[in-house]
Amino acid sequence: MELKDYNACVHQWSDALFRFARKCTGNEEDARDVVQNSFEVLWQKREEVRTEKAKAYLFQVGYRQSVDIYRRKGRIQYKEQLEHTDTTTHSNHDLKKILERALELLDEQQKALVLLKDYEGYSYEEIAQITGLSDSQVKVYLHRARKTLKEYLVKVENII
Amino acid sequence: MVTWENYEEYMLLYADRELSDVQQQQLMDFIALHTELQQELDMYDATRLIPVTEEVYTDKESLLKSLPVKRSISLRRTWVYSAAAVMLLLASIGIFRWGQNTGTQQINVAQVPRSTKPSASIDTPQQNSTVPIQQKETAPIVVEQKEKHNAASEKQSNQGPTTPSITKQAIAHEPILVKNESIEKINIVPVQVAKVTIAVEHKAVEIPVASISRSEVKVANNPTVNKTNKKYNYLLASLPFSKERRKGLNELKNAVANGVQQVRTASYNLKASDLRLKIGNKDVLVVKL
Repeated sequence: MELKDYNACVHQWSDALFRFARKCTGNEEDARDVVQNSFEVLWQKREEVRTEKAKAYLFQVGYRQSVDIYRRKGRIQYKEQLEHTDTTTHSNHDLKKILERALELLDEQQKALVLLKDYEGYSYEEIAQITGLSDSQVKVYLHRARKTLKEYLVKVENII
Repeated sequence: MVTWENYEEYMLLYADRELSDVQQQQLMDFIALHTELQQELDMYDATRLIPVTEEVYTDKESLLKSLPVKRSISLRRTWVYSAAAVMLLLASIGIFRWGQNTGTQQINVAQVPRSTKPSASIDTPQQNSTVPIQQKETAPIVVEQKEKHNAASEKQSNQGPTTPSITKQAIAHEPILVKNESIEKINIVPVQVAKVTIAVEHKAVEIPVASISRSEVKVANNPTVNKTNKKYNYLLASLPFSKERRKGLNELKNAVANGVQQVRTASYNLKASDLRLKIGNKDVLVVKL
């Protein structure tokens, strides 16, 4: 990968990676760190990474870092926040916001899989390459996440 | 084929956009047959997240990379230093050359007008000189023709052997102009000339005439020299000395003039010894001259 290709990747994928990291970590500052570190790793490995694989490589690094941050800071904190907001703001009818809260119910891996699938449109195979899981694992985990999200939506809809 | 056993998986694949067109059509057909499943399908479809495109990473500039800075600055500095050193060297050589030319002119022109063109002609003396002079063996010998002769000296020189001392006095200060950088071998040969200029190319070094005597002299057309010689000749002629004494006095005068000329030459050569270029305490260039 040449310098211009790297800079093109910055312009093309930094926003998507930031959104992905933002959802994975649940924190904007952590997401910024993830983006910064991911591109730094890409720059260091630019001789080995081909341009067409740069996006997957970025999300692979970003996924690992986001998971590390999530695990380091503790998912309990986020779930507690989620449960707190869930009980107090259930009157929010905005499906998008409800879905964002539902996303917090997922563990970091499921969340990442859903984000990679929905945000970036990766196939199971591509997600498997990024996350290091097998194709079948991706499929199973992703379906499990969908069911969780659907159950949450049904639950909120019933409450409403 | 969509059945009650696998319809949920079909719905999940539908939410993941992993169904082919045929599979999707099969699912829709099954939902059409069982409309109570439509809400469940909509719920699965609603689990799809939509990215918030307004959320952007604002600090892209910090991620961009530029070409690594080459070490051309130091090269540029070296080039500047080299150019400065060359300019300094050229300036030094120019100053040196200018000083050399100026010095030569000061020494020579003050005493003898410069010959306009080197020639191989030699003034034929009216009297034979038996006194040897120093002469470079290989260098062409040039006798400077004086455009205007000193009347007194010419008159005295035409008087023959009765007034040789005056002639010798007149040439006492006359140097031999040798235009050659190196005088390797010097022979002492008798020359019957009043003023001899040995001229070769390049550089001028003066050799004083130490012992020219009894020769026909054409005094250099230098007003100062002529005046001095006139005064000296007049004084010497007025003294009641014998011929031998006058000859001895003349030789003594010539020897003194020779010494003075040697000191001048040595001083001049000392000035033109080396050219040394130093930057700080380091000798960058030494030109041995």
